Amino acid sequence: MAEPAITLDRITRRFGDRAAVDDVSLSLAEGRILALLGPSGGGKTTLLRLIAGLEAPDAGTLSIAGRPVAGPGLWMPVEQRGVALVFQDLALFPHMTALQNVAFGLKGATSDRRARALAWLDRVGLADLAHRHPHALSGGEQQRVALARALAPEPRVVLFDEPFSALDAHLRQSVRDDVARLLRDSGASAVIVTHDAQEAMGMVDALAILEGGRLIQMDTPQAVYDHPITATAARLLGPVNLLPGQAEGGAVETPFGRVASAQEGPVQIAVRPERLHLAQAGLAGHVAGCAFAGDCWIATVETTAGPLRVRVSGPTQGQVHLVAEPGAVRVLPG
Amino acid sequence: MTHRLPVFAAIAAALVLSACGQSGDTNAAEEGGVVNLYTARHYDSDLMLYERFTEQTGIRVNRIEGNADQLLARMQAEGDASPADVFVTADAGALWRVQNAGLLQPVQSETLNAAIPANLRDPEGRWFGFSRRARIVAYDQARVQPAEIDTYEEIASPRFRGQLCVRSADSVYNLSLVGALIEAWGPDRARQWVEGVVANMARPPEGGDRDQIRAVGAGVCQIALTNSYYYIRLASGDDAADREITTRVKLAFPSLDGQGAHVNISGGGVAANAPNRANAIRLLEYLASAEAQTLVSQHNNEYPASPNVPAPAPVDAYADFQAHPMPVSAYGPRQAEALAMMSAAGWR
Amino acid sequence: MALTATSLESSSGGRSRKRRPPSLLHVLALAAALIALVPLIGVIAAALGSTDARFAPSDLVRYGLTSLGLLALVLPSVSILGSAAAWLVSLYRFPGRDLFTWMLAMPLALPAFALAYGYADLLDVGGPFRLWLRDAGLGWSGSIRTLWGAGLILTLAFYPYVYLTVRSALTAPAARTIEAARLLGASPVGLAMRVGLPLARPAIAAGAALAAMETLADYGAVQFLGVQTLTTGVVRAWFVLGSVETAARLALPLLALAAVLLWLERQNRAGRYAESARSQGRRIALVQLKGPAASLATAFCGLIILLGLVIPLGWLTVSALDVAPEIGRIAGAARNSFGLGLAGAAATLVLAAAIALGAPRIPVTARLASLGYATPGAVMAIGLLVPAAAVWSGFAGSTLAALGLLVFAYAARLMAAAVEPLEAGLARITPTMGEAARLLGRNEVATAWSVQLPMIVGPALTAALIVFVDILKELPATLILRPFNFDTLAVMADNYARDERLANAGWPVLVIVLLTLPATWWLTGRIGAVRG
Repeated sequence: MAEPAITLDRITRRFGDRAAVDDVSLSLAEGRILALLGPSGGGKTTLLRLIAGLEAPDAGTLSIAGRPVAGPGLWMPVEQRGVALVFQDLALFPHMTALQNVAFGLKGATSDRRARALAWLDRVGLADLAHRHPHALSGGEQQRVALARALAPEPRVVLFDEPFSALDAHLRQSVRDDVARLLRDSGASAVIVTHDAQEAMGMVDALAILEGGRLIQMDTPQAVYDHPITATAARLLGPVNLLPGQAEGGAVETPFGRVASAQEGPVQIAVRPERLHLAQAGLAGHVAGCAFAGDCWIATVETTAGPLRVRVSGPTQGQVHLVAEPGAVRVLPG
Repeated sequence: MTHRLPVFAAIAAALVLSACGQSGDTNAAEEGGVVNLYTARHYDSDLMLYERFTEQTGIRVNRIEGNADQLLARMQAEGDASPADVFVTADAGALWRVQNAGLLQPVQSETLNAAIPANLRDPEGRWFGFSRRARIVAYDQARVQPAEIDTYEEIASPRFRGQLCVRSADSVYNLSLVGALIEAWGPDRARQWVEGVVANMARPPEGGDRDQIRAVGAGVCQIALTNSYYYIRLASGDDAADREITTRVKLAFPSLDGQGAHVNISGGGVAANAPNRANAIRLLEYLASAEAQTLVSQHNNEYPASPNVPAPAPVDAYADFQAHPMPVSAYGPRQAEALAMMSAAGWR
Repeated sequence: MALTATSLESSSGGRSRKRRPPSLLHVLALAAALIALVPLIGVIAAALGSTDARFAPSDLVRYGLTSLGLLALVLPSVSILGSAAAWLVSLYRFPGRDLFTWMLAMPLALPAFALAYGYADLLDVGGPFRLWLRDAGLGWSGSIRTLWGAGLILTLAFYPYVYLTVRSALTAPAARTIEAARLLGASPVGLAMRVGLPLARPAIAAGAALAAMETLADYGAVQFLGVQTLTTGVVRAWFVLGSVETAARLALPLLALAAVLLWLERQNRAGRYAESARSQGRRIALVQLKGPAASLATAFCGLIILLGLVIPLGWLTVSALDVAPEIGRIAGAARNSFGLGLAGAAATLVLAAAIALGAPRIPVTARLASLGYATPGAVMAIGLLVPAAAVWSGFAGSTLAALGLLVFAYAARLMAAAVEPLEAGLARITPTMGEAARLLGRNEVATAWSVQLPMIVGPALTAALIVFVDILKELPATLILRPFNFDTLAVMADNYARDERLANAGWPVLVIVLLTLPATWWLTGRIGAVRG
């Protein structure tokens, strides 16, 4: 039974000479939600389109629910894959009402499709606006119509391409909650392309970091957050202090003590601001600035190792000493 | 999506409707049967002619009108399946081309041979001329004496330098005229004549024959080459301004080698694969009849082909001229040569 | 469970081309394009045949130069007239604007040959106007029967192509850009030059390409005006020298010219922009013109309509009133024209939609399918004789088959007129629309039917109108392919005109205009109202 919802086996997609997706393998268990993170041009959207069937891989095999759908000599057309995609621009059909948009992907008798579409609109709180055309809906409402349209056919896999980027902050929160709720209810697996890690971490089971078309890390959000394996991954998930270092004999001298290193030569030393603390002794420095960040303050401390950001509980100034939590200092490739 | 269906239904209905409006039966075995006519003549008066034919014989006339060479191409493309019974056109050269393409069959009919003079039909009976038009000169009465324009040579003479209006070399009537001149005079003399004409042009060739006559009326030129029936139509038509022009512009019949004016024909023959051959011959015989020749002359201002059929009014006023006896079958083979000659001389 | 997957041809080295399996739409597009190409293939095959017809090279050079000269006159003038008029009525309010909006499209209904007859007759040295001028002591020695005159006539006949395409480009999606520019304080001239021109450039190019191809293909008007172009050579070769092969050979440079035009037009379209759902449903707010600007705008549009419509149509009407119309024959011909126009427009639109939707997959074939538009009807007729021969021998005597053949001929000849607006319309739809439909379980054909086609209703109506009107005016293919006893209005008009009976020719031309008038009026109203 436990076939993964999506399996990518050494998938490659080239545009000209450039590999947009380069030899990526991953699998996603049924009912799980995966976020694809990475810098712009990292291959996130291409990977999403490969899974959807909007692009064909140049190499590798793609399976959905254990069934190969694309690979050497193999191609299942997009409309047969049972995969839904919520586009960044939503791609609502402007000539159809909200109801017609949602009913579009449904099968069966007209009255039945209508009833189901209406039920979905109700589920996203738009039953009253069912007969409006997209241009007469607000951004959040359009987003919800797009969501209902994608989920209404009960796909086993739902893909999201930067789904919340066009929304303002408070709408974003509520739409995101809707998405999470509806996905859990439906039991569908989901892949969300985003550049906003904060947004993703709260709702996904796993994060995949794509850089230069390659999958560099895939794990739970917390694991990636705490144990990023590249500087890019570290930065993508949240603020991080990065210092240059030199590994010799299986360890690196850091301002916070000697840390074991798997590699030799130039490396980067990473430590998150919230895992540094002010202390009586430790790395000495001078507070160059302190910025309010809502629930805390972020102090920038000039030290002999360079400027470090530190999470503090209140406005801070003057000379300070910094210590790191045990295990907080990571050594990353240089 | 359903609202688009009625549109398609309406369009389909429109097509069927226009199809049903046609009686397309091309070889019905009904009483009297049919005859299928391919005609390059495009005159309304011809329709009346076909109606009269049907009244008298019970044979229905199906017709397709078109350019002579397009009809020729169509008959070639249709091949053995061609429904064409009779081919009719308004230039001896075009008749020759159709004959030359093997699309006409010989017909031996005493009626036809008796009605049509020998020089106006193919010796083998593949086509017959039913009406004549003369290619002659309209002149400004105030500036030209009729005696100055009683030969074709004079059209090209220095007397009319810059004083001649004429239409393009593409006009089959001009081509047939030059073809006839080549036949009568040989190429060298004909070329001199063409060069003289080009030198005499008051303006580059433009417009139709009617425009040439009007140009004479407007003083652009003193003489113009025209077909007889265009002038007669202006003189007897509804347009008062046009009638006024013909009070000042008159018609002269130049003579070729003293034997008369150049004439061209409208004529036709039986198609090589005619499915209704007997009916086709009956149609030709009707077209050769005195009644048909009179009708054509009356309504289209052409001259009857037969010397025994008197020209009716208003044509009779212009019918007193001598026509050159040259066989009209001579024009066709000379047309290509004529065009090359005219092009070389700058007759556009 | 068995895999419902089709095999994928893996052609390596396909570079950046999107590699996807061939689909039904692909096949449909190819089939539609081939249908349009059949006559062209016929022409080329005929051109390869042997011929002994002689042609003076100096004549050919002269024809070619005249064709190019005519293009050089018509291309810029239709572009300027058409786009300036469209810009004025799309952005500004001035006296008569609502009337002009649809009147400006009307000259489309006047066949170019009718314009030429009207003007040549009116301005003939022996004509009433010139005689009146002379009597009034006003000498004028010019003539409409010159290259310049032909340029003017064809400009008046063909500028509506640019007007219509530009007008549909200047509605919803352009509104935001134009408003933004206004807010940034752009002067009216700056707005037109720096914002309007780039926005409308693809549309101008599309319309101008149609006008240019019509110019190349025109025979009736230039012949009547005594201006000898390449089409004159074609017709001379066939109808005077009797050589189909030579005629086809002379058509090849025309095809090459048309191919260059289409290529240039594509280059111009590189800057296409996509339209998302959010920019739909907006219209440009009209700005009220005042004072001299308003008078100028009114005078400009009024002059175009006066020259392109009122004078020629008025003169034809005045002439026609001299003779009694044959109501019965004209009614029959009108019914035939109307039925053929509808059926032909529908068939052309269906094929053109398949080509336009599939164009990204078959770029070269799709372009070639448009070449028929630049082919003189007489040449097209040569190519059509090949498929026609098959129909004639297979369905001898069948009127329906003959009409079907005619509809096919129209589609092949007029494909460009439908493909151009449809492609321009499709270019404004974001690709995600189609992808969304595919993901919701529709195959490519169903997607085209339910998503893309409904979104290009506006351009499709433009295309249908142009094709409908073109069919009403079409002559050579109708002449040679029609069934027995089948007159159309254009055929009637041509019969009379060839017989130099302008007054009689006026009636069928007037009926053509009457038949087209409601469609034009309705369409231009819709262009303003339809979203997208």
